[in-house]
Amino acid sequence: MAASTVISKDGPVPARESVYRALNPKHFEGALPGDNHFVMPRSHAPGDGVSTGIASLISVSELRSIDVLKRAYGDAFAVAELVVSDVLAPVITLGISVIQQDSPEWGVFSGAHAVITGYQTLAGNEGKRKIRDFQRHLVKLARRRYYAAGSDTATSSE
Amino acid sequence: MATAEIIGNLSMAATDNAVPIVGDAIQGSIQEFHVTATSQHSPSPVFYAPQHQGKLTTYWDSMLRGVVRSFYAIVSRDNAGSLTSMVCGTDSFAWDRLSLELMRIASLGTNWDGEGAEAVPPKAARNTGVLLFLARAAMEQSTIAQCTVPIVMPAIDGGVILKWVQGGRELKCIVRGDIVEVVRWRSLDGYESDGFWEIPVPRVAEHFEWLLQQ
Repeated sequence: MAASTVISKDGPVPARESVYRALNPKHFEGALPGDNHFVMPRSHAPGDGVSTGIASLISVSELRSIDVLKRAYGDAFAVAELVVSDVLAPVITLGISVIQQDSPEWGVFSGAHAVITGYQTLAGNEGKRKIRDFQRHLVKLARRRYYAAGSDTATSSE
Repeated sequence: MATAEIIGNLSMAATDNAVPIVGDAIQGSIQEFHVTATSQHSPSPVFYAPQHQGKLTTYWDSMLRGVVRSFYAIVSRDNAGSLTSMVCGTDSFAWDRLSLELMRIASLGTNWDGEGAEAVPPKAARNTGVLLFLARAAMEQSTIAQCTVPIVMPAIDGGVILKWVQGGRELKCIVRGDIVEVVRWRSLDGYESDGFWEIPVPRVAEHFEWLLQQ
């Protein structure tokens, strides 16, 4: 865990950072991360979003130790690792961003919480299409680097 | 196309006399079973959902109406030997598995994922059955030598997702009641989709045809 990164409260997570996404075991497509891991309803309140952990502030094993996640996913759930610059590359002009956002449910790791957000403003069918494109993009990134359930070693489907 | 005995009376359908060959007996799971009464393996996957018969009945009705052409894999409590009458051709096996998976999806209750997911509306499950019928028909008419089959999964916000990749093309349908959301990509590596449609079920056929073009 790198300690040198400074991340502003409620500010954007730096592009060079990575974020971890805890993967619900019920949402896999076969053995791979799937669409249901990255659902982005426009009904989400502004500021809500896809919940992640900032990799420089929390490790995979620490993420797996968070009670609220353990209760939902079990003791050794899978985790995807996404580089923020990769996440945002195709959507930077759409107002989508990765924002640090404290999560009291994460206990001592509250400050390591971040959300992928901003998709709520994409309106109409064109907005829906853009969200589907972005969702597919996130699934691809997750499949590129993820920690299978119980594993501390990253793997890739590529 | 598979042929098999249809067990019309769901009260007779159970897996009491069958145990999974591998893995855990997860409610709603699809897996091969070992039929203890006859010491025979089921020739096709068995749908294991003994606690969801009420809801299954709704979906079962649509299958009896012929919406889904082939599906048969519930073990009869009193007639385990019926499994031996099932003949599943290689070509139809993957489609039968899809029908089984759809039946599993249709049986999922609210919060099936532990995070508040919505149950799949019966109409969405039925219409996905229609889509599978259309998809299979499109595949059978296609001149492509090696066709894949789609995958189906529940959408956490209610509905059924059908994803189909063929060659370099990708199609995604989300069935919500009578309307289907369709997105398609011309390239597996590209980012941007070709288009987005919200259309009634029968019109999805043209997108299947697009997917299966040479």
